[in-house]
Amino acid sequence: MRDRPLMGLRNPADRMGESAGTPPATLASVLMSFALSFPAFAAGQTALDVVQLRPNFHMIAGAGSNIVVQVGPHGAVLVDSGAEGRSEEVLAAVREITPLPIRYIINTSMDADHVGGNAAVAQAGLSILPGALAAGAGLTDDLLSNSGGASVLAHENVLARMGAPTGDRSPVPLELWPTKTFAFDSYSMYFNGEGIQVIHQPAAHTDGDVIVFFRRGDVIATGDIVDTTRFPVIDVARGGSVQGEIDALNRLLGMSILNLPLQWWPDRTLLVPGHGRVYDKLDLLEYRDAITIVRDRVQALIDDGKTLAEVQAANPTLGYRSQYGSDSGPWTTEMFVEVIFNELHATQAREQ
Amino acid sequence: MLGNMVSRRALVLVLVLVSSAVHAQVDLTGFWSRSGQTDNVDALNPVDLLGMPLNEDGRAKALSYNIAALSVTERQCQMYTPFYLLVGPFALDISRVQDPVTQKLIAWKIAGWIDKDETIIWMDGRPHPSEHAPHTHGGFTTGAWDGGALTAVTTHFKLGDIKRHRGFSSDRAKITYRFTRHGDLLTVTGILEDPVYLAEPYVLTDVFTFSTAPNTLPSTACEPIEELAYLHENPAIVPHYLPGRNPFVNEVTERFNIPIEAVLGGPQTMYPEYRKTLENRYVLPPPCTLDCGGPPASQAR
Repeated sequence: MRDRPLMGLRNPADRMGESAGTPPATLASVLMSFALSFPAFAAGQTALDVVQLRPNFHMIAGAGSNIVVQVGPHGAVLVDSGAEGRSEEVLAAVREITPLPIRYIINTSMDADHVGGNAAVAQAGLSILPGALAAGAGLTDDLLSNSGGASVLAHENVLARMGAPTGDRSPVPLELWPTKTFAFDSYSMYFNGEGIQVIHQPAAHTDGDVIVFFRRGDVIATGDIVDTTRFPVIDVARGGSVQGEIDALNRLLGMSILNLPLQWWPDRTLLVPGHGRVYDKLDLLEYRDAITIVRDRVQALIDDGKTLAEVQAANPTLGYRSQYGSDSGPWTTEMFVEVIFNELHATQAREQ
Repeated sequence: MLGNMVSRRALVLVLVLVSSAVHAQVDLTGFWSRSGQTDNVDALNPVDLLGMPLNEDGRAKALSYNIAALSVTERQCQMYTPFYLLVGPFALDISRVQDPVTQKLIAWKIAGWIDKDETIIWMDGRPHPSEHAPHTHGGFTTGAWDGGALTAVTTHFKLGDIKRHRGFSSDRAKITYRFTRHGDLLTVTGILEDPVYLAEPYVLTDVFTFSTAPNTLPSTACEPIEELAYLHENPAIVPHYLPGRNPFVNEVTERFNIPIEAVLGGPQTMYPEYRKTLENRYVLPPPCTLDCGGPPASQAR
């Protein structure tokens, strides 16, 4: 059992000691094995697509996960860093947006296509933390200021999933770990003239998901809680759940505002998903409805005493299969239905 | 002197040729009234998908639809898709959008209605937005002249009704229009393609008449209200019908004797020859005696 890191600081023992007893793995080899469990990492090497959302907000698509770039007088804040191997392109895209340094990277989950660029992108950035403070606290500058690079912020569960018990090889190289974590509901900061809320959403896609809410810009980075290209990946092995996913979607709905009363005006909350196109509240409603309706259908079939095979045969995703489904690849429609069935079945068994 | 005159004549010739080319582009400006529409008057049955080329997913989504979903706050003011231009009840109000300096036409604008966003047909060669860009109710449209017809392509619009609460197109759909003017008549053809909900393109054509007294209702502000308490008490509830449990699925069959396989639509039901497959089976229903859409029997003459 590893020690819990200090709130806001990574435990030095975690950082220095956990992989000390194992031979160092190369970044590429570890990422390759890490990638096997993270479906979206297999994204093709497509050219990056930079979409401007607001005067000071951009989305970079095509480098693994979507990346949000918020820019202001103090530098750039990135939500996620994309896949390893795409960092040079990501950095080139950011330099096209702003000459100012990257100050923060906020990871929405521990998936390789979200954190793979942490090392290269952070080291190309500039820490906001002055070294003197670190020395005064009896800590090394490198630890607090990420060796002078941008800070990498994530929920503690992201760090926990990246690390390993002492003596075991950690599944993710040290360079990709977050440099700052929080353990409870949320972490807030005011940066670039804007309140930024990093809100933990337990047990949705994984147990380390965060929603990043830029309050002045009214832009929300959803991470893989929303994946407009497919049914949401529920990573049960890493703490994800169907009910948590639906709860997260409803929470996002509650945070978003439509363009009313002037529904033909473009003013509205914009939601940047982990993958796919930018949504607004109405799009999110359709996505939430689809997941909820499939859940309701599976529940009705369970209530009728159907087995998993019978549920699959009943095709409960019909109506949404062409939009979000897949019969091949790392996250198939059958896998999605199976996860729903298993969770509902277990819940029903517990209640009986 | 002679050279100068030749240059001027050449310039005039060029201007005349260019002017002729410009005039070949038809003026669409004005109000264009619809001669008739059936979506709001004759199509009141919740499950009537006849003639719509829905695929399996499109049919399942249509049958899952519960009108209570329209009471969800976010949907009360939702606009129709741009395809409603060919389905809805109102006139087209078409105007030019010109560059303020050069006066060159940069777009045609079809004004919005109370429940349909405006359509701006960009004619200045700008590209469609990125596939990752946000969508709007009205989408994004570019146009070009094809002889005397204006062709236009709309993308980036939201999921919405193909007809009023009957059948949906997805956010991946595309519409190709063709506007052809014949004097005081304007023929508009729309081709709706959707890889998500349609098995084949859905094609509608309507003819509009130049009008000085158009029937239209401009866009207005909209404020949702609390319609169904249970949806506010628990916003996680999603109104829908489970498969096989839509209570209206047999309504058209029971009232009009139209076979259920026709009511449920599909590409085959879109073609005129489909009627031949029904003619030996179809039996006219008995005369209507209740809720027939006209005045009460006591007032009928």
